[in-house]
Amino acid sequence: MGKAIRVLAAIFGLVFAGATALNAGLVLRSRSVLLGSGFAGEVAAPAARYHLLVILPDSDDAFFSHLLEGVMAGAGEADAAVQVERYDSSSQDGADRWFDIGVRARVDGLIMYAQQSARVAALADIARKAGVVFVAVGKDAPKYPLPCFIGSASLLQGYQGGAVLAAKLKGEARLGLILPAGGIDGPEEDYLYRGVAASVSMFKGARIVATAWSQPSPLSGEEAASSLIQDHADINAIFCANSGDSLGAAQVVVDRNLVGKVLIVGADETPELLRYLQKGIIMATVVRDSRRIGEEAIRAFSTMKSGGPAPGVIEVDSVVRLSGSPQ
Amino acid sequence: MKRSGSLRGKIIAATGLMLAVIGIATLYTNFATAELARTIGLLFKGNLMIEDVRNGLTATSTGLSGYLTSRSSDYLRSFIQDSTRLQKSANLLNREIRQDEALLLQRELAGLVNGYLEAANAAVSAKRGRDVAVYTASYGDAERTAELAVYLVERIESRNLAASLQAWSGLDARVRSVIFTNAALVVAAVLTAFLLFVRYSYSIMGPLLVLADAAKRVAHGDYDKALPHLEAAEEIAVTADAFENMRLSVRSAFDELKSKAEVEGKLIREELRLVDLDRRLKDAELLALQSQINPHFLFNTLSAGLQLALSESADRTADFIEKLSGFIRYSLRPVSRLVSVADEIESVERYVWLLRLRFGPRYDFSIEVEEAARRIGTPALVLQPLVENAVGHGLRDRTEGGRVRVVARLEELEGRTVAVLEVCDNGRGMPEEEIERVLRQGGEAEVAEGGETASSGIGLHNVIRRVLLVTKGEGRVDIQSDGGSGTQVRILLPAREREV
Repeated sequence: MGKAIRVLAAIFGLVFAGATALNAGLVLRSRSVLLGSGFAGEVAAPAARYHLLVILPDSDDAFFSHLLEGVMAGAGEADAAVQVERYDSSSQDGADRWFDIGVRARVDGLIMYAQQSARVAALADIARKAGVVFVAVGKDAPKYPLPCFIGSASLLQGYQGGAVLAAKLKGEARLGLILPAGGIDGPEEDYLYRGVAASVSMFKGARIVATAWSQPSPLSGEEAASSLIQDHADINAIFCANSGDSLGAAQVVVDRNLVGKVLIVGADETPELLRYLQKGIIMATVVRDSRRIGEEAIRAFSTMKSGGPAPGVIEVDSVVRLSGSPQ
Repeated sequence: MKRSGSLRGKIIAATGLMLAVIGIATLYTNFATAELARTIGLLFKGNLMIEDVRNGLTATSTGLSGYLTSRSSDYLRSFIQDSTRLQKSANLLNREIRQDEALLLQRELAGLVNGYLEAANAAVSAKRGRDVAVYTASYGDAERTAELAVYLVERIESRNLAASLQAWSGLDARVRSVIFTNAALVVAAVLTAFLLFVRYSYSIMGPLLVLADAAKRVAHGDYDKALPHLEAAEEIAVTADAFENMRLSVRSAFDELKSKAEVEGKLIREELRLVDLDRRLKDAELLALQSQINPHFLFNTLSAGLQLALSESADRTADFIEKLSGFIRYSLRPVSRLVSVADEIESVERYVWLLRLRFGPRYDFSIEVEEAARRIGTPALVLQPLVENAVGHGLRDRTEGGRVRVVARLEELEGRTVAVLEVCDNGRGMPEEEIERVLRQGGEAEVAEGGETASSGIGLHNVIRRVLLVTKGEGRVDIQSDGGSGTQVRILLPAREREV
């Protein structure tokens, strides 16, 4: 009897301890999740000095993900808590709303993707009046003066990509271009187009056969590439403005068994893109250093927030990665 | 009996322990449930807070637009109340800069609410000042800010919902485990409490059952088995000790009664034996009476012969007949009577006279009597058989020189005075086995008929028995004989004078 009592007491103790451990684990883990989501209103996340709102289009383009990486990498040094909000890239309303929220909520800084529009300058002015540091990031600097813009020049991107293709195909180059979405004016007004055209013009006989506009859809690259190849049988090279379109064009070339017959120069780098590059399906990719754009953007914010001068327009370089070359 | 605390203490301790085990389990499960509820409550805490802000915005906007359009004091009061409430709700929102997106959203919302209230108050002030341009602009600004705040509320709620679902999915999986574990805990607690109850029941009831068994044994008359060693509560231990003492007392009393009964039984048996001896004595007397019939006839005849001898002047014959007649008369009287030693000696002298007449100088008889011994009481007819045996057996083979000596005297023996009647001869003696047989038979109550030889008459055996019977065991007979050098028979009697 005494032994049975001891065994029962031990079992009771074990069950009690187990239940305690399980409950404690459950509560702690649940609380952790809840605190992580800001439910409890209890302070758990580290504090920061500045509230920085980053407004970017909701896109799979590696340009933006790398840009964000650059922002995050510099956030610690800038002592900033970064809030990232994305908007539907098919409309500018989302961007404007978050801008308005940021300004009215008196955040410390705004990093916002800016397209070539007069409104960007107005936004910058509104932010300045509200005492909010405004840093515009993008691909090409707007035509209107901005106190701070960090971007990559599409003109250079187009020129470097076009030069690679023209050097390969010489006067036989028949190019199809998939231009970035959002273009309002004609293709000839697009900086990327201009850059390609400038490089092609150096080779006699080489020419741009056709252009297509990218769309926010993930299948945009495939649609555009198919259309170009189908409508223009003489195209022997396609130049893409972003990573998503590059992958789509590569798949079309593979599907149509045109690898080697239709050369592709893509943009930026993703693991998939690099894999295609390694296999030779994509001839080259012009990598815009969007990570550096992010780093420069937060550095500019920090400088301006601390009373320093606005850096004006900063355009980072692009790098060409060729198939078969070390990555 | 080992004492292990009081019974009341044991019961209280056992009950307390059982209640403690179950209580701990119950409290624990309550605590766990409360924690779960609190955790689940956290899922909604954020949404409730945000919902308060949304409601505040709506109510304040209603009051604001109502006042601006109607200038009604009711609307104004409503606006002031709602805006105050909204401010309180907004004050609960996070305002610190933290590296957490949800907290940053809250901070933005708080900023928007502040902006909204500033614009709304500005609009109200301008309305009072009838500054149309300002209150129109301020109202527009407030409405835009409110619109953005509502958008932010929806964004936060949407995010909260997603986070809630994520948190709940993790929570739900563990809640089942917790419920199962807590149920196991309760079962374990109940089992433990039950076994504790059983354990203490045995602990408390075990000694009582042992005590009850012992009581049953005692009730059936078994007082010999002692209570086994018990470890019991103080009250039971006291009861058990008292019971054990009672058992020992009863057994002691029983032993005493038993011993007394045995003594009484022995006494009764002794009395029965004495009654039996008495009966046998009476039988012997009856037998003696029966045997007196013919000697009585002989005695009358001898009396006639004595008268005849006297009439014929035959003195010697007359003496003979007189002695014989006196002897027979003495012998015909009851043998169980108590006579004086003097009477007994006188009878023996007659008998010896007759023997001298018969045997002449062949045997030498001597009788020595102390005067003090003459008055001592003695069973009748105890010396004559001894003299007869001495002549008939001891000296039978002697043709001359046979000597028989009769002595009566007082002696101090073992601190008391006894009368010694002694008959000695120098005959052939008695074998030791014969002496033992005679002494043994003389002491026995039952004597086989014909156990005596015809020549011995009322022989040695009869003498021994009668000495024992008449003196109630105080007298005895000693026989000493050296093979071939005679026999000495001593009758030892209490030195009490015969009452006349």
